[in-house]
Amino acid sequence: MRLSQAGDKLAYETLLTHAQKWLRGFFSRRIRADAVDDLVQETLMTLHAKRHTYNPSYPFLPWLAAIAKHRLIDHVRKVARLNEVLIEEGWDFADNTRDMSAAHDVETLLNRLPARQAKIIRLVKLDGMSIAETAALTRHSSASVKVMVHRGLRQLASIARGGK
Amino acid sequence: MTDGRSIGNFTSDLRPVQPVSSVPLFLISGGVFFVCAACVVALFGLRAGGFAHFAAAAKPLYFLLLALAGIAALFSTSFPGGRIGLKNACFLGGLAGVFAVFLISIIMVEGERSLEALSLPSAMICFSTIGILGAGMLAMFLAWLRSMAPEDSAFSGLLAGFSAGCLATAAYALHCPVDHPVYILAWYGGTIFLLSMLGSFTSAHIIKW
Repeated sequence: MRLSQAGDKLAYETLLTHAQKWLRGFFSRRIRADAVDDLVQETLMTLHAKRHTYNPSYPFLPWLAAIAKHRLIDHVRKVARLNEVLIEEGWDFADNTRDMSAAHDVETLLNRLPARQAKIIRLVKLDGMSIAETAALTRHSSASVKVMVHRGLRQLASIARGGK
Repeated sequence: MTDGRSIGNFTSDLRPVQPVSSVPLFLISGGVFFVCAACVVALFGLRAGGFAHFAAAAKPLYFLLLALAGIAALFSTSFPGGRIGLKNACFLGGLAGVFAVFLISIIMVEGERSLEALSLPSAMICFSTIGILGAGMLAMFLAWLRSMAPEDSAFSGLLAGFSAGCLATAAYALHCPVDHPVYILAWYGGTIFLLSMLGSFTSAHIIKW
């Protein structure tokens, strides 16, 4: 990690490959198998974004484990929130005004993303296609599709908050 | 699937970074403290009699030491896996213990009379000056924390508020002539407590990573 902080790409690649393996083991003991890949990806993204916070005088693994734990807690909260929405009571299904308004908002936001990214988000998040199907349709790798969806959603959230 | 390609993306995006260090935080805090101290002295003047009286030097020094320990603790909790060191925790506890001994001995000597110190006329000036200076320093600490990755952002925010409050108090203590421990506990300690709560509440909402 010390070498990676200095910009050594080969050392970084080796580190990420080992970290990925370790993270798979870490998450697969704690959550459902279908969420493991997403969490590994998110943790690697956080590792990349926050690599300056690694203190070379400390061991690396506790640092990585703390990031993984943080992402895991986030994931559990998200899942819990989603479950709450699913069982929310008092929703008036006959009145679809709210749905139409939400759909309009989503379209407006998506139009502000690059066309390729917006298309992928539409396919995965709105049309319900799997990552593999979307990857085959758009001729990208599964990893690229995931990265584009992840970054796109983050950008959408930023736009919705009035960021850009 | 996180395959070799996504690792390749991260690798190609790799730029050298400066590993985290506490030195810039201490330097910036020191600079801000001197600016605040200069403002206090310019606005209110040094306390009467200068540093001839023991408490005139001991009080700012005490809060400065508390602030330094607080900043060290803040730094320790600002990155994943970071913990407050045992030495630092003992140092903070020792400082709190020294104050507690003073407070208890004064209360034992003065009894109920010691409560009269609470209603001294300068209380509101102490409270508002420390509060305003501390809020500015807290904003600075929170801005710094946003670039870090604290595991427990509320706790780190609490430490940020505590450190900011102690630094502001150390600056204001250069002027304040009141040395009564009950007064210090209520008005200095109360303001530091409020700033700590503010830091904890704010950081829980603004520090996401």
